[in-house]
Amino acid sequence: MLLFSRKRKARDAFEADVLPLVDRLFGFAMYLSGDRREAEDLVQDTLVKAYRSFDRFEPGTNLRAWLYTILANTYKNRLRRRDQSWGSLDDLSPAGEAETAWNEGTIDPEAMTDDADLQERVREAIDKLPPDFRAVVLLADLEGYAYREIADILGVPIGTVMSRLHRGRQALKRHLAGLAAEVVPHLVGELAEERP
Amino acid sequence: MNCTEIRDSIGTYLDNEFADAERHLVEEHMRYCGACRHVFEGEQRFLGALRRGLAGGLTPASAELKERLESVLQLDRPARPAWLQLAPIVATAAAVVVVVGFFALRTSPDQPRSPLEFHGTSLATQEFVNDNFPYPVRLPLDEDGDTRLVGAKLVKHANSPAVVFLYQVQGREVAVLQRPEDLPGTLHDDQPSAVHAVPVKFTLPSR
Repeated sequence: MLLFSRKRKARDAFEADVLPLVDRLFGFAMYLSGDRREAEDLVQDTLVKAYRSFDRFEPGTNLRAWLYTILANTYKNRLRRRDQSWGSLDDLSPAGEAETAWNEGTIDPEAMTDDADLQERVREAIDKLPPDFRAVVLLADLEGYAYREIADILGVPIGTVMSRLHRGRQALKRHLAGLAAEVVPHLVGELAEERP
Repeated sequence: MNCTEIRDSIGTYLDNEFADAERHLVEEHMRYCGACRHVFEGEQRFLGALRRGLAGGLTPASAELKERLESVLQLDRPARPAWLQLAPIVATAAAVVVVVGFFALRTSPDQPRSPLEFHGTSLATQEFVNDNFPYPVRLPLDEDGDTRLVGAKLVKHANSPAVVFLYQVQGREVAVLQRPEDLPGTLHDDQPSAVHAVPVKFTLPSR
């Protein structure tokens, strides 16, 4: 019974520490999978797995990062089972024009009609990324993890994190710039005038 | 560092991933190179928009998901030690025993009980089952200080009449579905290990 009561304590702690993170985990899973049903399954699988091994989790280490590790692995396995790969960005064309638009300041996020619009555009752009790039960008730009932590969570070398983040952001920049021109019609004219 | 190297490292700089020496190099370069500063500002603007869009567009979990998660975890929680101890009894029991969610039995205390459902002491519950169920049944779990029968409900399971016994196990509600062995179509092949598998796969009836 001693063993059970120790386990019970660990599980009480689990409920106190992990359940408040459900919204955050779900938000991340929604961006990662792009599908509500899939995201709910991902969060449920993650919590059940975490729950079962919670007595082996070392208090004081990063709980959130541990949950993201389980979630990312679960998602990878689900994609593999469905014969979908993490994908790649090998065909990525240079950001060129989009880069210029951001640099010239002609795309002003403040001028995007409203936040809801920006959010929708960002979501669409994220959806277009292959999952492995999406995971790196989300861990960096949504969750604010350092390169080293992202490498640990995803189980890849830090150099891979840096290159995926760089290329992922380039792709996003392109999608967002194109879309921004649609959102703010007066920018289209300005962009056209600037082209030689 | 030349301009190309500087521009390639702007993202790393903005991510705060440079050591002081490298940071200093980038900052020095920006001070006299207007072209790179231009690129730097564009990158800053883009990252700001991306991060603002991502954070603002977070979808919260639905109340239904939270409810489901709590049920899944609670089912896993108190049942385990009790089931581990009871597994041999369950294995040799004459009847097929399957754990189901206790919320199948949950009703508001103010609502009148259905004639097919009973909540009360162990003895009264056993009397209710004996009086109302058309077949003889044996209690699926032995009672002790930690395990107490507190109610029962008569249901249909896979087209056979069945009883859902509601127990308090170590202070938590656990429901056990029992079907009499002499009825056709009982699940003789079910192994008690299914008891552990059920909570994971469990979904609320409303889904």
